Amino acid sequence: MRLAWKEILRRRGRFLSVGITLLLINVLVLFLVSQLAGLDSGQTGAIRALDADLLTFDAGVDQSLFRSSVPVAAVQRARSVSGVSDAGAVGVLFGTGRTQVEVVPDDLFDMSVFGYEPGSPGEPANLVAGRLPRADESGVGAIDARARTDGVALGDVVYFAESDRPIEIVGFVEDSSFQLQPTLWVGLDTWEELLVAVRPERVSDDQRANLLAIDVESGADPDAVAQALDSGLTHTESVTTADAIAALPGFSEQRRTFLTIVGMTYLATAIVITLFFALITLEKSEQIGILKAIGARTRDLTASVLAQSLLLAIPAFLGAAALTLLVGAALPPELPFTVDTQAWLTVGLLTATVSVIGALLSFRRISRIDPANAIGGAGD
Amino acid sequence: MTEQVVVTRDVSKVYGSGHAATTALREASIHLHEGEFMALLGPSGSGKTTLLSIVGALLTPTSGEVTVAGEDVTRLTARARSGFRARRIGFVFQHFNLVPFLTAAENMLVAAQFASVPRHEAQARVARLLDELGLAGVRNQVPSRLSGGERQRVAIGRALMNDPDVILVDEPTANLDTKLGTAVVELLAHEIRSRHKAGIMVTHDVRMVDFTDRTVEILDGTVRC
Repeated sequence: MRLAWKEILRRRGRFLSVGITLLLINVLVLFLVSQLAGLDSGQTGAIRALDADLLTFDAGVDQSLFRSSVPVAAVQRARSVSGVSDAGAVGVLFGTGRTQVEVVPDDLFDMSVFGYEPGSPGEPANLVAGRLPRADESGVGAIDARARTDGVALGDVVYFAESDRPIEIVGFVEDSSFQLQPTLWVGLDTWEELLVAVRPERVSDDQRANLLAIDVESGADPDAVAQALDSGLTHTESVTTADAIAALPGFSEQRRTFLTIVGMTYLATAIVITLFFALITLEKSEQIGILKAIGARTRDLTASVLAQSLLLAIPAFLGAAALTLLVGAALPPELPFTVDTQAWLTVGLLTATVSVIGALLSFRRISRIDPANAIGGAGD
Repeated sequence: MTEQVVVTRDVSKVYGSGHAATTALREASIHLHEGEFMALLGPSGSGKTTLLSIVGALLTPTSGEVTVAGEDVTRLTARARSGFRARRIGFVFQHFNLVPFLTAAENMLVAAQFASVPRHEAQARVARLLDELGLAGVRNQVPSRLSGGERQRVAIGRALMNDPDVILVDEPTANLDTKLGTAVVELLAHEIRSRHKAGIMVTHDVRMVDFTDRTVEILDGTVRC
């Protein structure tokens, strides 16, 4: 370890160059995973904020929030299904929001409206300011905290799409955006008023919402409850919230794309580290032979190379983390960027693992260096 | 009578096999006592380096017996040979072969590290050796900042670091001018005798024989005393 550290200190130039390369690769990877986390969070916040164990959709619509249509009356039937502790209807609308009754193009911002039954599953979690709409009031809503960047404040009034129905903002809900746009949370009655105003073609004789949010009894198996729900209800498909998120259009493809880039970047990291240690091992062959001659074991020398790989990888990761945090803080709020601690720790662990594996590949070369070559030449 | 530290009996070494087999050493027998400094002379390819490597537990003979400091080195495993070399053998190489990024003191300390000598004890030994070898003023200099003579003295210090029984010296004057070469061999001879070590020096330079107690010549793998 001392030998490894001294070599890094006294041969700063070469180790610094590979250290900086590792640092920049780590910045790239951390930035990518943070963007992915930001995108994931921005796309799925509203679904996660429903705080439900299961979501029940209309069957045959591939769990599309848009196309799904379930009768609100199904809520009562769902509540009677074994394993269900509570259920609530959720209505969804997509469109634009504005803060003035007149439609001024510069004032418009994309927004979704989620209607829920106050006090039932589907009510958003993560209230960070103000309050949520109560069951006995209409024309009020809580909005995703992201809307603050669009200039929305508590007490403001927003309008949805072409409707001139004012909705007073009484609270802010964190991490509840949908498709990277803020979500307005209103009572189901207010949501129906908006539906009639902006999507009259979707209004039917029976009261309908888009999906049901289901809470499962403690200890019950969600998959079994989902099956029971679909047996007890008519023409429905119940899935876990995680499955519903995975079914969001483009969500899985986006993840695969990002993770492929991250994987390729790690491949590049492994090649950089392997080549670096292969080169310095080759360059130090004579020195390694001498050290073996005076008593160093292959194990000591390999441990030294491993220590060097970690002494490069760990500071490179920590430096990259600091740099990425700085870059993230400087980004405009509309760019998705979320620090996912678990993902960052995984990146750190992967960097260390890839570095150790890269360094370990020089073990074979080290083990094959014959200490007898330290003296004269064979056959002399 | 002093103790025999190095004994080889009928040691042979053959490289390769079949038609490609080359005999580097034929039934070589030598012995060396404590405090004795022996020169191993011979032309290139004569087998003197092979004999030095076998005594130093760097090579295993094809046949014969080799006892160094009471230990049959031919029976040691590869791992045990590393430990044996670290503790019982001191090497002085032809090209100094110091670790370029370590200081004079650290180059000596590294040998103690491989012999698992406790750090505080190793540091005390380094300080003593640096003083004795006249290197105290350059203890924190890396090899590139040392003169040829200083480098070779650091190499001698490294060889003496673990108080070995045997010092093996490979062409110590090859990279030094005559004056410096003579001084280095004189120093080696002094250290070997005063510390009661057994020393073997491979050399082409017959002038250095004057500093040794005995000369063994090798020709075509055969020892001629």
